[in-house]
Amino acid sequence: MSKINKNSVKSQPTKKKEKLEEKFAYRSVILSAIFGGLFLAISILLNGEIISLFLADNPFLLALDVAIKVLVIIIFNILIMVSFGNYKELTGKPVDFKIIGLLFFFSLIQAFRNSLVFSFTLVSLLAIILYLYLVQES
Amino acid sequence: MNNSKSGYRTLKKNTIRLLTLIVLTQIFLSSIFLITNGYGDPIEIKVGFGDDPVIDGIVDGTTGEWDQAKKQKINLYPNITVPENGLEIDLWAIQEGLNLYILVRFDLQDHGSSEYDNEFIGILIADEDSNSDFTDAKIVQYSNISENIFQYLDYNINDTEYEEDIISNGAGAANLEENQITYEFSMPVKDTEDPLQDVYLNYIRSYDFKIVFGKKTALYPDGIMISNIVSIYLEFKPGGPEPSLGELIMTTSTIIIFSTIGALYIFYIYRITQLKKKIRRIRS
Repeated sequence: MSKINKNSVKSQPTKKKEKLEEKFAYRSVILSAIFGGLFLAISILLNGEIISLFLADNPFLLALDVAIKVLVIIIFNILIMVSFGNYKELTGKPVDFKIIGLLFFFSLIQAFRNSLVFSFTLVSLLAIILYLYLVQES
Repeated sequence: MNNSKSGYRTLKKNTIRLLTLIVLTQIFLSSIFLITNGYGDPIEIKVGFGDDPVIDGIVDGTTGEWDQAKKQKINLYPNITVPENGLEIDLWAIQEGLNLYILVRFDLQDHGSSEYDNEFIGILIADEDSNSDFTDAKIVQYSNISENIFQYLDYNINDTEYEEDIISNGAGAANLEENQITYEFSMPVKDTEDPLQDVYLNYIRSYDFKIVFGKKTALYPDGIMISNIVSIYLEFKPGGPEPSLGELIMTTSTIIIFSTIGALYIFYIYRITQLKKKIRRIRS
């Protein structure tokens, strides 16, 4: 009898912790997805060339324009990856390379209108993949 | 569970590290890009359309003329390849109808003195893809600055010889107010009467314009003291040309790609809304 009681007392905080972490992960899935969506909307506007940030053909402004466009895609990629990673963790499955590859493709394709944005995005996305691979290995 | 929590922390830490790395890489790559484009290349301006200004050397704020102009500050240098001791000028450009309008404005000390009696601002124009071979010149030349006496000159440049055009195209005017002087020019686009002696400006193309300044003699090119080159892209008149096939493919691809990504994102959001149910199902 006492053994059962002891166990049930011990498992209570663990369960509470588990629930808290699950709540945190769920919130992370939602928040990351919402912010990812926000950056996707910005990317549609900028990389879809619906709006232009700078009109002057000044090299500095041009570089800033390219940097902003690349950063928007990269942040979108990271946020969706975080959201999807937590989503998969909650369902008890790992994120496989197929998903990473798809996300890589859908991030990179956003930059198809501008060769400079495309090349910088490609380099940045490859750096992310490499980084994730190295972190995974260690 | 502890492992899971530390996993989240590590993920968060790694994300911050990754973002820092990306930002640093972007700054680094952008810097390289700036260096390759920074030296020797002309300043580029894309000119849009607006109301035509009156070429009288006066910017009339009440009528709002030049309000829609593309405005840029540039420096004129004694030697363009060594950008030192520059004179900062306002350079405005606007298109209206079949004309391109350019304004140059700057301040100089004791500007009304006889020292500046021979002052001039010239706009030299190079043919498209001619690698800055300037063959056309539009000049506003002062002969007495204190009495505001000037002349508009249209020259064609044969090697280094400035020869006056048989038919003068365009217009130019200037006005000195205290120490600030304003030069205004207009020149025809796709409508010159003298294609042999003038550079034939056309839409959807870039042309190099060399802004030159002098004050000592009314001789060219000897009197030119400082200058700089600006590349001006002339846009098509409002209404625009028919979109090309390439442009049409690009627009269609943009719509398809972004709507696919948008649809997938909406599907993912839907999956998130179903996530709690899924977790419950897995647990049971």
